[in-house]
Amino acid sequence: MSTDLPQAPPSAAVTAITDPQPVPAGNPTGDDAQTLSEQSALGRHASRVQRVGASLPFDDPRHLQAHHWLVDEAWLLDAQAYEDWLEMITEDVHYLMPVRVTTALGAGYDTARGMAHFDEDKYSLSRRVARFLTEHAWTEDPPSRLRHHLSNVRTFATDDADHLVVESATLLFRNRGDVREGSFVSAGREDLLRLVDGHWKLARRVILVDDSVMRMQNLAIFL
Amino acid sequence: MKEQFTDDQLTVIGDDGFMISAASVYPNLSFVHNWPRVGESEDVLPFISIRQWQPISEDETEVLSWFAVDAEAPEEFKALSYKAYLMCFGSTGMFEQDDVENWVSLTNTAAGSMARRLLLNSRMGILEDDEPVIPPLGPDAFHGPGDARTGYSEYNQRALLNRWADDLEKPMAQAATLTVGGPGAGTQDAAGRTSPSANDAELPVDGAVAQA
Repeated sequence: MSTDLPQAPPSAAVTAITDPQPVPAGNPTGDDAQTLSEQSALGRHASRVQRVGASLPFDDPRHLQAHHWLVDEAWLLDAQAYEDWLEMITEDVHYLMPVRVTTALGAGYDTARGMAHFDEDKYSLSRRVARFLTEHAWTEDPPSRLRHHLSNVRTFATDDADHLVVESATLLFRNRGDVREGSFVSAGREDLLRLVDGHWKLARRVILVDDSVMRMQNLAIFL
Repeated sequence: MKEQFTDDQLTVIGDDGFMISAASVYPNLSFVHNWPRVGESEDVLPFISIRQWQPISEDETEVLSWFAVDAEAPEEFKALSYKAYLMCFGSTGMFEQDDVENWVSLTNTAAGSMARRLLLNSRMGILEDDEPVIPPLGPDAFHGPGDARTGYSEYNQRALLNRWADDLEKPMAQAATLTVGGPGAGTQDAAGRTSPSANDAELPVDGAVAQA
C-alpha cells in the first residue's frame, strides 16, 4: 500500500533561512540572539519579526503583493537604479549576507561566525550607492550587464499585519566586455517586508549565497 | 597600545612620521590598516585586514581576507572596526572592488599579443644609469630596518621579483623525512641519513627544510 512508503524524518524538513541557529559561545550580540540576523556582528538594530505558519496560497493578495515587489526590485537592480532601490528600503534595514562554510552534516552551522560579505544598515548601503555615482567607481564603468533571475517565491504571514516574510531564490548573471566569460551568483533570500505609508519596504534581508569562495571578481552588486 | 611598541617602532611612527597603511611579507601575505568613516559623524574608525594571495592558475588568484581586531577592545569598537573593514575591503569592500578591477585588467593586458612581445618596464624610480631618482632615507630620517624611500617608485616590486627569481633558481631543498613508529622521534641529516633520535641528526646547513 502506498501508505507504507517511508516517511521523511522530521529532521529532513526544509529549514528556513532565519530558523533559530545554535548560539556560539561568547557571541557578542547576547544569549537571546537566535537567527543569523540577530547573531551577526552588526544586526543588533534589526527587526525581529518572524514568520508564522505555512506559506500563503499563491492567490493570496499578500503573496501577490510580495511577489510583485520582488519582481519590481529585480528590474531596478538589473538597471542599477540604486537610488530608486534605496527608496524601497526602510531606515532600520538590516542587509546581511554571511560567508558560507562547508561543515559536516551534524555541525549545526554552515556560515562563518562573525564574518559576512554584507552586514549593512541604511547608512552603509547609501554610501555604497553614492560610490557608484562617483567618477571613481571603475568597477562598474562600463557597467556590467546584470540579470537577476527570481524564482521559488513563498510568502508567510507574521503576527503583525504590516509585516510579511518572503523567501525567494535569485540567480544573478553578470557579464561585461566580449572576452571574459560571464559569472553567476546563486543565492536564497529571506526578506522581511514592512508596510510603510501604503508601500511595502524591505526591513530585513538575509542572503544565503551558494558559494563558499566567491568566484565573481567582486560583489559590486546587490542581491 | 603604546606599551606594545619598541622604542624603534615608536620613533618610526612618532618622529619619522610613518604610519604604515599597507605591508607585505614575502611572498604572499599582506596587511592593510586604514581608518575610514563609518557613520554620519566625522569620526574615523581604524581596522586591520590580513590577506593571503593564493595562486590558483596562471591567471587566477584566490584572496583570503581576514578582519583582525584586538580581543580586549571594547565590543562597540570591535563592531565599528568590523563595519569599517566590510565597507572598504573584502568581497564587497568599496576600495577593493576597484582594486580587483585593476588587477583583472592587468592580467588581461599581460596576456595580450603586445605584452608578449615587449619587456615589462618596471624601472620606476631609477634613472637611465640605474641611479635612484631619490636616494633612500638616511638613518636619521628612518629608524626602521631595511631601505626606506618616499615618493612613487617600484623598488619594492623589483626587490620582490628579484628575490622570487633567486628562489626559483635555487636547487630543491633536501626534504627531511621522519621515521614513524621507530624507537625515537627520528629525523634526517643533510646527507639524507635517518636517525632514530632527533638529537642525533643535523638539519641541512642552510636551514632550508622542506616538509616531506
